[in-house]
Amino acid sequence: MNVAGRLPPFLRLLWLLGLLLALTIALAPLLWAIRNSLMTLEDTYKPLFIPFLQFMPTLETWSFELLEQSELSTALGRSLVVAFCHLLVVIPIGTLAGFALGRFRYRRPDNFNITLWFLSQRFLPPAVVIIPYLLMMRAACGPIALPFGLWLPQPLQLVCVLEGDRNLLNTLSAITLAHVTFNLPFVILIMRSIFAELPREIEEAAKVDGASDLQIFRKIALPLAVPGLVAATLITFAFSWNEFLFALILSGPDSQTLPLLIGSGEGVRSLDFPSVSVRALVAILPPVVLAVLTQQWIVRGLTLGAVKG
Amino acid sequence: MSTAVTTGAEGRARVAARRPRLGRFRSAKAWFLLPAVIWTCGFTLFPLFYALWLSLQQSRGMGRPLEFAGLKNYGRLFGDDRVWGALGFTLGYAAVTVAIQIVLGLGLALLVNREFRLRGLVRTLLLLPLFATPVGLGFLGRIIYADAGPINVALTAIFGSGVPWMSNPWSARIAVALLDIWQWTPFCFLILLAGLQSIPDELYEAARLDTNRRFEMLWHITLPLLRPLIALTVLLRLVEALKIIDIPFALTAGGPGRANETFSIFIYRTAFTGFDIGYASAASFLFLVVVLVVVNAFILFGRFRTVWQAGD
Repeated sequence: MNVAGRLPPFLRLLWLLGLLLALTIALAPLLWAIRNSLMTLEDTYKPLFIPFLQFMPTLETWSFELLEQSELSTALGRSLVVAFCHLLVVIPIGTLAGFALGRFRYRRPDNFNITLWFLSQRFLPPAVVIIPYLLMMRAACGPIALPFGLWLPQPLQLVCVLEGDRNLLNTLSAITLAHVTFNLPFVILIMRSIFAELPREIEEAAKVDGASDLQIFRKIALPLAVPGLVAATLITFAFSWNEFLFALILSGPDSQTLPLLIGSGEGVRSLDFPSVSVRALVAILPPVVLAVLTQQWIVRGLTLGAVKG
Repeated sequence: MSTAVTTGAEGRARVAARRPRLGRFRSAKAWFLLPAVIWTCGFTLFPLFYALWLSLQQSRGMGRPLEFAGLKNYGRLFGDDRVWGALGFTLGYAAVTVAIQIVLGLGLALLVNREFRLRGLVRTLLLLPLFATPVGLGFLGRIIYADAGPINVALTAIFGSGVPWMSNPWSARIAVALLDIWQWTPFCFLILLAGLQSIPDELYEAARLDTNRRFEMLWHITLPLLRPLIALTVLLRLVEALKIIDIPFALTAGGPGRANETFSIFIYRTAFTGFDIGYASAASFLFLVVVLVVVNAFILFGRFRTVWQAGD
């Protein structure tokens, strides 16, 4: 859209400068981190920027942090397990509820009130529930811990370190459960807006032919919603990857995930520019890549389905 | 009502009314929602009431049993400077960063809302900061703001001296806020750009009969039409900004002193380093009330009912 015709030359130059400035600021920290991660420590202090011409890029720090030292790769693996396992739970539950809210008509409470009820959880500061979460996870084998164990997906039970007292603290399961909880309203609202937009004619035809709601959901609505579902999955994955507060309170030495390792600043001197850069990039880059992959859905995702983007 | 099951418009409902076995469908509606409702009750509502109960207890150190304290914890809140300091800082921080993000995001959206080559690429590049792990960002900030880091090197080259970012309370606050703004401006940019693109060209063409001034068009057409979307963006950002913990935690650990102690950090520290569980719970309820007031004020004024009903 060309808002008001062509710009006069002076404004055009200004516009170009503004755009370049914005791009520079948006990319500078990332590029600077990448530059540092490819350098030796002494080189980082020198005003060198162009690889191969000014300095020889080296993957030394990357291989040291990721291959020789185990703590970064261990934390990375844990973050992946948590994010993946939380998806296994949150996506099915959230998609079912999203389909219901987008397709059925409820009364008392009506669709909007149910939607708002789920939405309101996004507004709840997580700091309010961290203490109960800690105590709940610590309640060994009580009426609370028992259903947790039954709910856990199989791979998770293998990874989580259940000590003798079957306490969920210091296990990846605890973090996974928390991540499911705070991402659930997000998935519901997104999937609701995606299902509500699908054409209804096919579903109605299927209904006339006697298909049940579950059949309509599985065989008709879900296949049509796959692109949106993939986007919601990737964005949720990124949220889980980025989450810090629950990981902070629920994890211990055996379940330290990536944000925690990074946030605590353990194991690296803060003036070791290349190492800090590599660690920061390992945390930052995966969700950034996901953001690019899902960008056509991102506005809808971030506004919880309110804006189509 | 016999057509309670139907999807969509009332006219179509009549088709469904002829279908047999209504009762089965009627119950299916509830089954789809049930897992999510159960999960929410167990993991959001229950902890919330649990926290309320805890806020009435007093802890005598980790592992010791709790004692009933009545409203004593809430009474303590009012005399505690640290609480009001953290609350004031969080509110001020959220207000300032969100305001800057909205203004910058709107500016960026206006810049990109033109036809030019590589526009898709520019949009993609501008959204990159958005999903960067905040903790990783804070951690990266430690070397960006370091004495030998790029910002101080540039400042020294231009002004002759750098800024001791991490040791001065205000510069540390600015350092945290800058990272926050860097990360979240793209959020406002993306939403407002989507809004700008939904404004039909005809409006501008009609307006051009009256005026040719860009500023007047911006003021009288673009901004009024964007207003609901700006309100929505402010709401979503405010809620997230009030929760912030990761960037200040990773960058300065809430310091120097308590300069960057947001309310979330305060609750975390009170509960998990001071082990004052009852008091931290009471503080978290104060926080919840503040957030609810902010959110409800927005929902009252912002007419969001239409926003989230658009899909129905």
